[in-house]
Amino acid sequence: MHNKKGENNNSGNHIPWRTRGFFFEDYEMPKYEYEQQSRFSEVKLSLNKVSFIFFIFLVIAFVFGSKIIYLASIKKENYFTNKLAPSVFLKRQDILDRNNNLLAKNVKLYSAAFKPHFITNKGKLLINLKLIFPSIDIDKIKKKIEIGKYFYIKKRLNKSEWKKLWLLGDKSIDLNEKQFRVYPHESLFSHVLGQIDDDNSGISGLEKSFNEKLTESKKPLVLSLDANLQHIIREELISGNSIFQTLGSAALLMEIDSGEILSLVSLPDFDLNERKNIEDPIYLNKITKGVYELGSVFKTFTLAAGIESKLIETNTLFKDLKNQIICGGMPISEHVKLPTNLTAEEILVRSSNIGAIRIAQKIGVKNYRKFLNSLELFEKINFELEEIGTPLPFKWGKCTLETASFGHGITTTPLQLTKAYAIIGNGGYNINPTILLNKNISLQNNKQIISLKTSKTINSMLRKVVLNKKGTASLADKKGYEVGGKTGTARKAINGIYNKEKKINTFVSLFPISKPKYVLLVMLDEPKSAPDFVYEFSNGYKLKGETRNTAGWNAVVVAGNIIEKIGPILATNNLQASNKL
Amino acid sequence: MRNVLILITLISGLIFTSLIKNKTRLLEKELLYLDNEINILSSDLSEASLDFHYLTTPKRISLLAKNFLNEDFMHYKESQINKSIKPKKDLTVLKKLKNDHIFSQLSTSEFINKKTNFTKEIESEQLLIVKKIDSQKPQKSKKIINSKKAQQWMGIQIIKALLGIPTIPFE
Repeated sequence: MHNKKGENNNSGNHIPWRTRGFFFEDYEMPKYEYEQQSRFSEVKLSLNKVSFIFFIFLVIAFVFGSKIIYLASIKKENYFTNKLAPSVFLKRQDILDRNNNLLAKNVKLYSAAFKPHFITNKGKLLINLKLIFPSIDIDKIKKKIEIGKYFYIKKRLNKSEWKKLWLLGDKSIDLNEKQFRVYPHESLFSHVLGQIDDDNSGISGLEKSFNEKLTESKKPLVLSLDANLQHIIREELISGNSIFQTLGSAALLMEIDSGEILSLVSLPDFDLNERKNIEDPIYLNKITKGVYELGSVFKTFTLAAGIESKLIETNTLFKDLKNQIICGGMPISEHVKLPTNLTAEEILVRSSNIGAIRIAQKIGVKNYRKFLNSLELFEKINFELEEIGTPLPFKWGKCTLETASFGHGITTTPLQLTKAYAIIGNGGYNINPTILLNKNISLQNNKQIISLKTSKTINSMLRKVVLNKKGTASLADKKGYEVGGKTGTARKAINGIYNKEKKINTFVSLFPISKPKYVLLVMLDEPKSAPDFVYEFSNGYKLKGETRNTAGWNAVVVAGNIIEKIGPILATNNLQASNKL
Repeated sequence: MRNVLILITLISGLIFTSLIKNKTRLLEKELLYLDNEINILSSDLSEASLDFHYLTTPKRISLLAKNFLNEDFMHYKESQINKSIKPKKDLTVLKKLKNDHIFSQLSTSEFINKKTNFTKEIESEQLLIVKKIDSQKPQKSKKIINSKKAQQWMGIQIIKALLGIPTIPFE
């Protein structure tokens, strides 16, 4: 192991072994070099280890770092709603009115149920139950326990009841958390909102038609309805029902430009919080589902068709109008004795049946039919609720034109009638009634069905129906609100025969008529005459002992009262009042 | 030196990792805690809003108004408002003001006469109103010092003087 180079190494001068010449001895590794090499490889190895460990730490740091960034960057809403928010608030969204008043809400409540197989001391348990729920029927509970099937003791427990049951610590009592739908306005919106079943699925009304949206959306459903207006209208209808002893009544208030429904009331109604199986037809939604012959309210369309087709004008005189005619073997007469000569305007103001027939005959079946179809009165309307009535089909046979001219022999829903009046009032533009709040509705984009001139002419005529002393709706003349409208008294057909006593009385009004903004329909089902009621006219004249029960003596009164009360809320410009002061 | 570097890297890696991990865990805990708090608060808010909406339903408010308010705020006709505005004199003045345009249709002399009469009438009305207001105005309450209070004050001042406390001048 000794050589020349080795000496140099010993002297401390380092000469790299690779630069040396080839010697046999080189095959043997010098000790020093061997040590150097092994150290070098050790360092190399340990450096690799360090970089590996460093890499692992880096990965871990990156993972945690990215988690921190993730937690910091995510939106709180998503984080909470997706992972941690209690599911009870996600099952079904709230329903709000146009002023954000709550109409329906899901709440978390407890239900108490029995698991009969786990009962150990039946007697003690029943005594405890009686103490907690004094009104409970113990015999009924006993029978159910004997059957041995799982059953509910009480749903919607209050906090104290839940606590008392929980403190019993009985295995057989199952306190399960459930969500229930609560309706703070009770019966106010019953026909609109509808009901849900035990599994929180809508079974009627908006709850059914918007079931998907309510269960999947993160936002509440906002309606165009107004709770305050709805309450006032409902109260007035209830008052009208008691005065005129009706079977039921309904009202619809709609914006004529947008088609947004501000109020939809149908009486009788029901409390949505008390789940009931409603089968009695009296509870049907009279506005959307009810299909009726609505009578003289159709005369407005007859006049509009005549004016639109330029066959008649306001002052067109119709001579020799008989008090009764026979059509298809059936007599058609006036509701009161009227003059034999009437202008087109007077025909509407005084609601002449024979006059309306003469106008319709002048228009002809084809044109008249086309006009009514353009108002979509006889098709099923496209509306958000499930409960929609389909007008009864009819043939334009002999006498159909004559009877249709004054609203008999043809049927439609009050919703469609209101829509048609809105079209007449808004300048002739088509609208689609809606129950959802929609701020982006532009009337000008809609199809124009009748001309602006016809619309204005009809509006002025409708005003005269209310303003004129001989008009049929003078009781609706409320100072400042410029009410215009048309009455309709239709006899109910029972088993194919028109009943003289049973009537459907309707009044459709537009206000303020100089520039109509709202259309209000009031319908009374089988109103009776009210001889004890004091009728008050706008000129201060009072009348008592009236025995007639046509629309002018009941539906008009109710509508007038409604307009007088909702007018200030709607902020209708009360022109007469402002001029006076 | 290298060993030291390795050791430092190792230790600092360990420390940083544990620090980051702990910080993450703490943040997560805090988030969970905050989330629970938010849930409780939102649940309370939801219940409270339900209570509020139930208590402020038009039906309930009108029922409360019927039971507890003496006044009927429901409806007031214009004719009733006119009646409540009276006395008559004020109304006649208002009517004359309203019919002011009639003056413009009259001749100038008539117009001046009517106008002066009218202004006199208004002035007299104003005088009457001012008198009424004056008579109704409560007299300014003068500070009346009764004898008892004065005696008390005098007594206190004497005691103060005896004790050497400076006396406060009487207001």
